[in-house]
Amino acid sequence: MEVTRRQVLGGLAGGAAVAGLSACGTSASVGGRPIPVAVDPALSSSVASRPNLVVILSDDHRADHLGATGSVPFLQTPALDSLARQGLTFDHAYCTTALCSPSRASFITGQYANRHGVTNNISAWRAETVSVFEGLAAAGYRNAYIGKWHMPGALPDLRGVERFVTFTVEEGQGVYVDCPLIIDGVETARPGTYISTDLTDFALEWLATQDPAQPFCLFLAHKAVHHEFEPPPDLRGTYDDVPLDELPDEYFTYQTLIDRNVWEGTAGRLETAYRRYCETLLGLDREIGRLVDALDASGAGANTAVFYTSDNGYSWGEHVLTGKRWAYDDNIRLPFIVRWPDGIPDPGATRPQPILNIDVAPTLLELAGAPIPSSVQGASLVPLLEDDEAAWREEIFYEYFADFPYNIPPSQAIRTDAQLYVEYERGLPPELYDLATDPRQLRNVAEDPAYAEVRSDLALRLADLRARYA
Amino acid sequence: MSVTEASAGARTRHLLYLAAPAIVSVTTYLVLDLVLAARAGQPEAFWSVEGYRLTMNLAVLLRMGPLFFSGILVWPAMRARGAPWWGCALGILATPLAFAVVSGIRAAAFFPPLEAAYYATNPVVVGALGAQVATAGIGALVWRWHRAGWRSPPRGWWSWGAVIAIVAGLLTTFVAVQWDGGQHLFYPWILVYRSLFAG
Repeated sequence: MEVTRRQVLGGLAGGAAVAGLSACGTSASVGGRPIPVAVDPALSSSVASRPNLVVILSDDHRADHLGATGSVPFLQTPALDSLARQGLTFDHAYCTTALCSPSRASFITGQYANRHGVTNNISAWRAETVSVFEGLAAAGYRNAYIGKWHMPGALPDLRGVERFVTFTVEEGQGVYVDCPLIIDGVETARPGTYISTDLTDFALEWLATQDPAQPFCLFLAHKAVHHEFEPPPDLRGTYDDVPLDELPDEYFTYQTLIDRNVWEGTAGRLETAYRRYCETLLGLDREIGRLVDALDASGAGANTAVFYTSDNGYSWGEHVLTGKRWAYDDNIRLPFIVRWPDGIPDPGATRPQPILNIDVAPTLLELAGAPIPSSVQGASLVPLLEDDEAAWREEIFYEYFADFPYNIPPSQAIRTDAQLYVEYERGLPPELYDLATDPRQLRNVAEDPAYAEVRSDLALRLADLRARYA
Repeated sequence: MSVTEASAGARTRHLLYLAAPAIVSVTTYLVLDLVLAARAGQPEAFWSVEGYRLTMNLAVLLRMGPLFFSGILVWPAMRARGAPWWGCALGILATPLAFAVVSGIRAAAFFPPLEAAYYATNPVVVGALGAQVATAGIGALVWRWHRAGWRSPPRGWWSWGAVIAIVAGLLTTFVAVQWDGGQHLFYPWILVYRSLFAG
C-alpha cells in the first residue's frame, strides 16, 4: 500500500484542523469513502424479489481446514460446518492467483489479475476498475464493504457501496488487536477491539439498518487467518496440546527460517504458528456463526445467499513451504460454501466442478438481476447452485506474477481433475503432477518419458488458456 | 623459487593465518546452507522422518551461529593472531556478506540482476551484520579482560568502542529482524524497492 503512516498522520493533522477531533477518532482524507451509484430503474423494478447477498472472505484459510472435512482431527469449525450442512460445498474451488491482493481484486471484479492489474502486492488497484458493487448498486442493491481491502496503491473511494470500513495499517494487512479502521473515509482508533469481532460488529450494525423491501450485499473480508495468527485471548492455547499428525513428512520445525519461507512472517517454530493459525480460525468461525445467527434471527436468513471462501490457501510444511503463491493445491484450493435456504434445492450436497474466485462476481450479478459486463472472465455459479450436472469448465488456468522479495518465479499453470502442469517464466523447469497417483504433487513427472504425450497435450492446452485469459 | 615468490607465499600464508577464524565461519555457514539446499524436502533420503527433521533443524539452527554470532569468536581470535582492527572488522562481516552474496545469486534466478543485487541488502542481512557487530563487541571486551587478567579493574580493559558496537549492533538487529518480526524495516525496504524498480 502506498498510504504510509506519514501520509496518514499528515492527513490527520489537516483533517483535525478542519473538522476537529471526535471522541473516538479523527477525520482525515485517506480515501475509503463510499461513492453512491445511480439506480437503474430498468434493472431495479424487480429487485424486491431478489435474494440478499453476503460474501464472507477470509484470508489464507486452506480448503482442508474445515472441521467437517476431518482432515485435521482436532479442528472445530461448527459454524462453517453448519453452513455446509445447510448449503453447498464446492470441493474444487480455486483462486486464479494465490496471493492476497490479486485474489481479492479477482473476487470483486470477476477478472484475472492480468486484466484487473493487481498482479502482486505491489501493483496498484486502478481507480477506473469496475467492481461488482457498481452493478449491484445499479440494480437497486444496498452494498457494504467491510474489512480487509489490502490492494496496493492509495486506498480508493469505492463506487457502489454505502458503507466502507477497512484498514491500511501494516501495508493494509491490519493488526489483530486495536486495529485502527477507516470508516467511510475517516480513520478511527479502535482501542480494546479484536479485529474479527470488530468487523463482525460493523457488519451486524449495518445489517440492522436494512430495509426488508430492498435487498443488500454485504462483503465482509476478514483479516483472519492471515499471520501473525493472533487468536482471540480466550481461545489462545486451545490447541496447545493436540498432536499435529496431519503435518506432512517433509516439514520441519525451523523451516520457517530457510530462504524460501523467510518473508512469510512465520519465523520461529512452525508448530507454534500452526496452532495459533488453527485457534485464529476457531475464533473466526465463532464470528461467522454470530453473523449467520443474526441473519436468521432477523428473518432474512432464508432468502440470503451466504458465500464463505478465502482469498487463497496456505502451505503448512508441504513442499517445505510456509505460505502461498505456488500453483500447488495447498495454495490454490479454497474453502467454498454457499448457503441459501430458499435457493438451493439440495442442501448438504457437494459440487465437484472446478470453480474459481473470478466466478463470484458474475454470480452475485446474476442473482441480483444485473447484467454481467463483458470484461468479466468468470462464469456465474447460478447454474451449479440449481443443478449439479450443469455444463461447466473442465480445467482451470492459474497465473502468478513476480512479487519481490519472494523467491518464486512467475508461473502459469493448468489444472485438470487428473493433472497439474506448471510452466515457470524463469528459474525453474516445468512441473507435471499426476494427481491420481500423486495427489500431494510431490513427484514431478515432466521429464518422465511415460508422460511425454500428456505433457505435450497440457502444454498446448495451457497455451490456449493463456491466449484466452492472459 | 625466487625470493619474491617466497615472500609472496609467506605473506599469503600469514594472511590465511590471520583470516582463518573468518574463513572457518564462512565455510561452516556455506556447508550448512548446502546441506539445507540439498536435503530439505527429502525425508526419504534419511533413515527416518525423525532423523530428517532433526538433521534439518540442526542445520538451520547451527547455520545461525556463523551467520549471526561468530563475531564473538572471530574478532578476538583474529586480534590474538595479530590482525589489525579493520581486518577483524572484515572478518566478522565476512559471513553475513557471504550470506548476502548467496541470497543475491539465488534471487537472480527469479529477478533481474539489479533487483537481485538489491535483494542482497535485505533485512536479514542487515540483522546479521548488526548481530556480528554486537557479538564482536562482546568478544572484544572479554578478550581485553582476559588479556588484562580476570582480576584486573575495568579501567584496564574497558572499551567504550566495544560497548558502542554492542549497543549499535543489538539495536540494528532488533529493528531488522526482531521488532514485530522485522516488519518495520521490511516495509521501508520494500518501499525503496518500489521507488527504484517499480515506478
